[in-house]
Amino acid sequence: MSSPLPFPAEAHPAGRCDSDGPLISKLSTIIDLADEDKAELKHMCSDARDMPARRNIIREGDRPDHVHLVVEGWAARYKLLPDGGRQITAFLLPGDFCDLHITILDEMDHSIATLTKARVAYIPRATMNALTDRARIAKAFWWATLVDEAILRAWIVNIGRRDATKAVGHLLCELYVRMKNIGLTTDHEFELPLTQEELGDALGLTAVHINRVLQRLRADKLIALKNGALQILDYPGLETLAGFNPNYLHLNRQGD
Amino acid sequence: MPRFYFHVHDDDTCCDSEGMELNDSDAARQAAIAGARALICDGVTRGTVHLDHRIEVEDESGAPVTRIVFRDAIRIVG
Repeated sequence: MSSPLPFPAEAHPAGRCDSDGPLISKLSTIIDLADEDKAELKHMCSDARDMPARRNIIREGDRPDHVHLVVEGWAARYKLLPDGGRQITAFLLPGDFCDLHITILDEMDHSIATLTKARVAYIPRATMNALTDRARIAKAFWWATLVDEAILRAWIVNIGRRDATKAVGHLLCELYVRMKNIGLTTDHEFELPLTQEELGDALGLTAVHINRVLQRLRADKLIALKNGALQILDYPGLETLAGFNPNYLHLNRQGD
Repeated sequence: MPRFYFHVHDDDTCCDSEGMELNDSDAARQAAIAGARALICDGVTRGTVHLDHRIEVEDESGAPVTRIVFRDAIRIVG
């Protein structure tokens, strides 16, 4: 790989949330935030910067002064291998923290880059520390971190134990449920700005294999893909094929 | 970088409308071989490999770049 950036240079449309913003929308699904909590969270995201597609937000080894939060668009966590290969270990959607853990851990052990044009909030460490003194917000952030871990567990199972068709189906179900939770789906359709290579790098498959699998899912009338949008034509069918259970996304409201 | 399209001809014809940006036709050939091997692996786990399946690579103008028949993507010993 001779390209200095680990992503091919092509822009995609970005996801966009409205009203309170994707973070509050996401956290409100599981926890009752007081108005003053919401105000703090909005204020926290006041330094939001537009970034082009396929640009590093933060790199392995960096010691960042800020925590980053995706406000619009898609990003990915990834590791580069010595041979130039890349493993994507998470897709980050609007409302997802890139690196909440750096409030505790000093140095990044992986990199994060935008996949689409994106808007990224830069949150100073001091602000994060002040916010986590508020019990409700600290609990909400903890929840977000635990869900990130749960997603990672689900990905390990997916990569390790499902064949390519089921693994792709599982990932598509997960992305649908996560996009739905932040209000970015219409019926069973959402913008899926991922290339075959990116899907392959997330699942440990070649782009050719991803293409073959997507065609199979289309032929079986489970999904339709057009103009960068994915429509799930038969959600129960895709869920059954993939053995998808959304319990690991923990979207049921918590008691206080 | 030029874009190459990888059409898989197995039980069906699976046209690639997205393609991949790669340095040159050599890199496209390597990607086709890697893709063929991955599909062979998939077949092995299901218990059947069709060695006459193939991947045909085209450039942006639709001109053929290379063609990898599965049996040429691997060495079978024994």
